[in-house]
Amino acid sequence: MASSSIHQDINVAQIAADIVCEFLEVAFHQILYIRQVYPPGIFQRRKKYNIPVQMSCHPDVNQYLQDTLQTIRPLVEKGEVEKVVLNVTNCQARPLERFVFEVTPPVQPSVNDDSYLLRLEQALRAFVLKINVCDSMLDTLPQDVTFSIHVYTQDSAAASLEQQQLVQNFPWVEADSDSLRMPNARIIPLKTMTSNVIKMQLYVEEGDKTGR
Amino acid sequence: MGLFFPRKNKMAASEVDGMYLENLDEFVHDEGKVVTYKSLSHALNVHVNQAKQMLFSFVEKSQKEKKPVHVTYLVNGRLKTEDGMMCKVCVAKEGNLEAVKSSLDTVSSVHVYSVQKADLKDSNPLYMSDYDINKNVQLSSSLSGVKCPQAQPRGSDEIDQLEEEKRLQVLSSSQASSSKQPVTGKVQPKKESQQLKAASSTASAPPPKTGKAKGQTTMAQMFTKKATKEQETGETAKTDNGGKENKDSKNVPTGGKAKPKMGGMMAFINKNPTVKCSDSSKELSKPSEQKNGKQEKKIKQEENTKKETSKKTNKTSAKGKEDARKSGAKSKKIKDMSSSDEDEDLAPKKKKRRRIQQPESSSSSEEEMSEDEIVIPPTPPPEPRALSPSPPPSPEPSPPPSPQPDTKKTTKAVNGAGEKRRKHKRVLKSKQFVNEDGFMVTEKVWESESTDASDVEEDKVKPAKTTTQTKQPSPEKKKASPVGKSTKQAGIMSFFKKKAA
Repeated sequence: MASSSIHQDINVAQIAADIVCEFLEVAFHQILYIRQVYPPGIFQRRKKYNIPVQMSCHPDVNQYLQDTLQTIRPLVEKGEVEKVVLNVTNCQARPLERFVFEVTPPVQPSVNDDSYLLRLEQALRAFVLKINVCDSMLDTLPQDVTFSIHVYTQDSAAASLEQQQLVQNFPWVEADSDSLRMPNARIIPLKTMTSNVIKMQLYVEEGDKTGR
Repeated sequence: MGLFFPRKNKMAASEVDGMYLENLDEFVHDEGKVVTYKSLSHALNVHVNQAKQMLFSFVEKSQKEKKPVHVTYLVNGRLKTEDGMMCKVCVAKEGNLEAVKSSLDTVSSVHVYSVQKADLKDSNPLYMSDYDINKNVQLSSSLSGVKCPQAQPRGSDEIDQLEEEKRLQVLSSSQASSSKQPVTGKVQPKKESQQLKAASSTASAPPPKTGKAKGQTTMAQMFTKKATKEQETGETAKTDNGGKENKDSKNVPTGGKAKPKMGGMMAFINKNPTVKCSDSSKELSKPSEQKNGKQEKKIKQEENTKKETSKKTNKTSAKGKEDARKSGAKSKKIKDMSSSDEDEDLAPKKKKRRRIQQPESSSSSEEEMSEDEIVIPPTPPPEPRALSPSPPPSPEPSPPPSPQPDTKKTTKAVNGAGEKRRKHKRVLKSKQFVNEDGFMVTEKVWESESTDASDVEEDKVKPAKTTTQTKQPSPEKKKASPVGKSTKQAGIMSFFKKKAA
């Protein structure tokens, strides 16, 4: 019996990791569209979770996002990822906005209650909808911005990641403090979700967008 | 000119309006929601017209108070094109409103579609915010749309009564109608199963989930009432369109085939109608809640206990189910087919009837099936399994063949002119063997045995559909295929494929 329950847990963790990584990809694309980080021309309308979402067609952008998520997927599975942040920065690499996705494994991982994941899908749809309307709560960004993705994790996990990278040819570097800190930042919570598969929270840290 | 709502309605219940407006204020400013008129009408349980009025007054109020909100409008009008006059309905942002209005020749109406704080980049949020609401069709239709006061859903007593009448009809008229099974079975079973669901579930809310199905049940009820009037005449009743005529004429026979589980069994099992009835009704109340695959199993279990007759019901029920799965969109095709069938000779009908009736009289346990009908039992709808660690191709075909590992089915190949000198019997046998990859393969194989010359020909027909593979040499790794992947795998793959293109 113990082995089957462990088997069950591993299953759920893998499932959760897959779902989270998929969702993060969708969310990142949507954020890039909504915040106009890239011109809307490169985006194409696709369907996910039974709703229309925007996805970029630019190969480099897509490759970057995919590689990022592929490398952190094993960490998410083990529950070692604290948060994943999409950092919108200006040309001097100063962060203007940070979309923070806090991901935690649930207290009792199981897929029994929601075996078709309908409620989970509904919750993810709500996240996407909130991203779509987050404009109203945030100040406009200046024209020339770029983005980067940061992952908060533990030292040991970072070390294991480094070993993997050499194989995967996608190096991660430790972020320096400049790119992390935003003076006078305010937090705007967007959405929270709890389920037996994954717990996720999305908020935006907004810094001072004027000046410098 | 745009149609705005008359003032008198607004002034009628001003207090209630005030409360509603406060709610609306909260939705828009506090929660930052995208408030469409649909979601507002659902949230406050008011008619959509009232919801639109509220949105409009809210927009006016916001403009006065200098609290900017973004508004989208639903513009309805006519446009002259080369092909003629075109009706155009579109959603326009407030900035584009004048442009859209000027692009139309005549503007019939301008309603407020939604109000939100954020400036929307595209229409996605409008769709998303109504997504969950649109599932709740009952409430939607009650809060809007055209209503007919005479159209009331039937009470469960009435439905029970109608069912009783139908059952009696079916018993008396099953003989005259066997030929029309394939065609009519398709159209009716959905309606009939809806009716049965209505009977079995609580009468509080009509069980059919979609408004379309609801329409269908009322149609079915219309037809069943007519069937009780014209009992065994093959005449077509007067109906609205010509296409429905065929349904009506076959209604008596469809009564038999239409209820695939109940009616089919009733038609062919004349032994203990009452006993059958209870069995089938139990079976029916459950399958209506279960998947089709499980229905197959239940019906197949009965098969093992009662050989010939239950197999036939399986055949008809499988057919009926398969046809019930087809959407209403295909009913038109069926109507056409049925009209052409009517023009066919009676000879093929007699042939089919003969085949079916003979096993009843014969004492052997072998069933006769036409070649087409063999296809139906092994092909249940492959429904996406939520948690299925085993590889995908195996689960779908395995449930139906597994309860019948050793059934033998024979066909009488009646050659054109009907000569029966050499009786070729084709027997469906399942064989297990280890193929070259070390997999144990179970194949269903047609072996035709002819009685004169005692040689056996093996025809491997359709082995692909019915193979189940289990690795014998190495233990199967149970890949944890994640739950979400079965439904979402396609999503990611489509991302990748499109990227490559």
